[in-house]
Amino acid sequence: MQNLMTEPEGTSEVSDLSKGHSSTWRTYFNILWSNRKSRVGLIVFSTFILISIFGQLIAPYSASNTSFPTMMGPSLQHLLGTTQEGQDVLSQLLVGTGISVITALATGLIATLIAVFIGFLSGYSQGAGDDGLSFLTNVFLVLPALPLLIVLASYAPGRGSTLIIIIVGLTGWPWGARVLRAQVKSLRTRDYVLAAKLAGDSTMRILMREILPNMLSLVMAGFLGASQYGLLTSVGLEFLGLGNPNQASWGTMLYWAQNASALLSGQWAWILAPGLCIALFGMSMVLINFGFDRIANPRLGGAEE
Amino acid sequence: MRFFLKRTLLLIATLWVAVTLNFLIPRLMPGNPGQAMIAKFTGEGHPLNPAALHSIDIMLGISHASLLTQYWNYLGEVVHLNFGMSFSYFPYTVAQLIERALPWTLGLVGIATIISFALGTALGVIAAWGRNTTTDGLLTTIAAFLNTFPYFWFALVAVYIMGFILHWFPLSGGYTPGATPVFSLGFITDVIRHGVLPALTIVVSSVGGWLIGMRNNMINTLGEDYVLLAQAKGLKSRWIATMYAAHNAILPNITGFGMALGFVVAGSLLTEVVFGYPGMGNLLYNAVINEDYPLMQGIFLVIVTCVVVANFIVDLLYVLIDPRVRYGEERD
Amino acid sequence: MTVLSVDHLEVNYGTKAPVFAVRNVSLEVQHQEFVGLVGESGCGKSTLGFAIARLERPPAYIRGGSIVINGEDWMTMPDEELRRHRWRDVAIVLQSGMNALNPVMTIEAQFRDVMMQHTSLSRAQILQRSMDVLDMAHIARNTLKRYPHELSGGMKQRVVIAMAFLLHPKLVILDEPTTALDMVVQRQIMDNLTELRQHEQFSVLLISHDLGLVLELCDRVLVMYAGQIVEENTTDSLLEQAWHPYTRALMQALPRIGGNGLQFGGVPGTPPDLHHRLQHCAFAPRCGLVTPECQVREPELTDTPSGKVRCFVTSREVVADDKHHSIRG
Repeated sequence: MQNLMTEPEGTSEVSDLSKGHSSTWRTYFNILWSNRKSRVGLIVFSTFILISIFGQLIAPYSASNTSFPTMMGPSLQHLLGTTQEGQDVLSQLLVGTGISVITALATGLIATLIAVFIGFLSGYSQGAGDDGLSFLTNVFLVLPALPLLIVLASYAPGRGSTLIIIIVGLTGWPWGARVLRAQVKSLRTRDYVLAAKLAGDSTMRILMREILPNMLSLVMAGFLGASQYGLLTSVGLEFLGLGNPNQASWGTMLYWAQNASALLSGQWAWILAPGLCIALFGMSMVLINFGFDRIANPRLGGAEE
Repeated sequence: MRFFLKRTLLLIATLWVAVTLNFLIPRLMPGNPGQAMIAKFTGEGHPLNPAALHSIDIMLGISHASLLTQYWNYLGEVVHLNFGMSFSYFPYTVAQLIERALPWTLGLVGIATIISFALGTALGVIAAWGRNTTTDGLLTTIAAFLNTFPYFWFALVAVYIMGFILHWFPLSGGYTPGATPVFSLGFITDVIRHGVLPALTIVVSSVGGWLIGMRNNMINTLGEDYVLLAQAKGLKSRWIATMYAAHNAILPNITGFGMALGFVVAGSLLTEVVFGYPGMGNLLYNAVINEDYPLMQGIFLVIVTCVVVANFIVDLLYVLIDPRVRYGEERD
Repeated sequence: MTVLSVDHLEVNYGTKAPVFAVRNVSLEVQHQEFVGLVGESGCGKSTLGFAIARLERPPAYIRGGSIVINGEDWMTMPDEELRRHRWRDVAIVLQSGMNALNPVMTIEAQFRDVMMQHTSLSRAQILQRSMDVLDMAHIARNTLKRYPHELSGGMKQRVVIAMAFLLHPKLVILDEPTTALDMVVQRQIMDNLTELRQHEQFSVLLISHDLGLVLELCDRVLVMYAGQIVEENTTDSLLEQAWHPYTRALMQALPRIGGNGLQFGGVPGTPPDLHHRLQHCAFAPRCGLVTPECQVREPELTDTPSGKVRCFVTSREVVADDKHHSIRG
């Protein structure tokens, strides 16, 4: 009998929750879509995701095919030219998009998970716990990440995007943690949170049910920001030769192009194309974030927009 | 005073974390970089004297002393700026190499960052003052776009266009090879000529971040009552924009300066690599290529120290312009 | 002598789907007269106050009408000339002084910049005048050296009020000057304003939701509802008889000290949506005296013995009253 009583209650709660979330997402999407800047961002972002998935299929040649004449400038056969090993640059670009996009988003994800964990813990706890965590955040905020990453990557056995994703992700969290902490601090004194606390809800439940849903836009903005940081930092490491040089990605392409003095031999497309891809993909995330900014801080936008 | 203590504590803690990471990384990673280095030295025909062996032991840990003893010895060496021998630049010590490279980076990155911060802040004020005008739209869009390119990519393009095609500036280096580094007008001009493109790259790549940060702070400030009241007081627009809005808006931007500095320095290091600039970035790059671990770690520590100290100086300047901190109120 | 004269002023919010926030408002403030502007929040009273001081900010904009202050047309005046008239002719005190002072400047510097802008006084003279206004407001002179964050909320508001008098303004607009302050500070500020009348010659436009406050301080009262003035009356007459049903409801809602102690009431219902041009009396849905006529036409302002009222029903009472008077007379 008791089971019969509680079960429907449980299920209705779950469906309520999922309904609440999907409608939140839809609202977000509508707001982003109605903003011109973030709409452009969404379209560009989706295009890159599609290229990541179908890059292998739409590439004119195999990215590792070295049978072409080396160091050719752009031509009809090779729209972006060929490398010093005789690979087709366009094919490398299309295939490499997947690795770079995944690296960016995965580092963003790792950094955001850590940021949410530290930010929530620090924002919700008071006294020594909060002091310690925000001090830790500040230390890692000030510590310049790239030299540390270079040391880490040099010592690590083997090279590859997994290594880069992990170490860049591990250093990308402090900024997000700081922002989230401040927001949790301000939300925790709101009436509905106090009400839930008085009702005896557990801390975990309050964080997940009352606070997190009100911070989704901030978390998403943090994720996109961390992904952009991940993109630029991983590309930098790959440019230094700390990635896997045999795996095509935007960063390793630039590494090889620089090694082959591509520009000085007139191979501008080889340098230009990966750089533009990095900028466009990064820009798409910045543009989407304009929309999230506007959700979080209505003052920044135009009133008549 | 409390603010000052807190900042000093942060300075020390950050340095300690960096030093400790530096100690732990080679010891926790699989393999034994210390033994590998000794093997390499011997293979290259540089038989190691006991002093060199000792320094490798302390920096990378090959002995079987307890970790705590190793750590204690290591701290002692680091405090005396004794980072051991460089493998790739035998027989130079790491400290000697860094001493030679550091002024180049401090000069280049320091000047470029100050220019970039000042320019970005000023443009941010202009964008916010004319918000939602064409100027604002243009400035923020360009700023956001510039901000998404890797620094080193700009460097490549700058070298190509302004060095290779237009021959306006030298392609690489910090000064003309063969020139005697003396304090003369000719040499200084030469250094400046070589520094323009790298500096331009750093400014162009980083200015957008300052601009957008300042614009957003400034727009928030423009909505404050005291700006409205300043307008009601009949003050001149320029006075309101600077003394009322910008002065208040720059405070969070200065906090942001500390946070972004590490990122700017990282980008600048890569810029140096492209330009073959004789600074820390290039040295670090060569250390990476040659798997010169002591050099890499020494550079890491020195860069962290520079960034942390720069942050500390900025914090002290902050106290000068925010009365709330000066009079003991907390800032976060 | 008329200090402020507003004629047919219209203020909208936004252009695409405008909100008609201030609708055809005309009012006058005489020399040394204290006029109160009351209404519930959202009735447009603050919007009107800001528009009069030409401090309206996008999306608010003035669609029509005229504002004449001290004989000068503030609507058509070029920006630079307008700037030179500010604070000399009209000083403004914002709702709660918490944020009205620049956090990074001392009080002295904030007094000084307005004086330097509008006068050619020496630094010593400026300091003297700064101390004088603080004395008038009973604020310690060393407050000049303080930064805003070192002052309490009530003290900040009193400093802002003192600052308003630096240039001997003709008109002081007070926008909810005591909201968010505790009762003791509220009383101090009210007493201070009354006392200032003996030192300085100025007029006041007091914008407030608190009718009690307005009745205490002002000579004349304007009642605003849904962007319009619905009643204009002298304080003395209003205490005897309010003409508009809304004013009557407000009077009823005043806390009274009576047999049952303090009693608070309210006016039931909500004001109309000002996105549309109204085709009926704005107060009709909440009015106890409503007639069919009220729902098809908007009433005009008509004269009462001591002012004006915008109501079909009670304006007939005026006429009846007049007849009554004339018969008796």
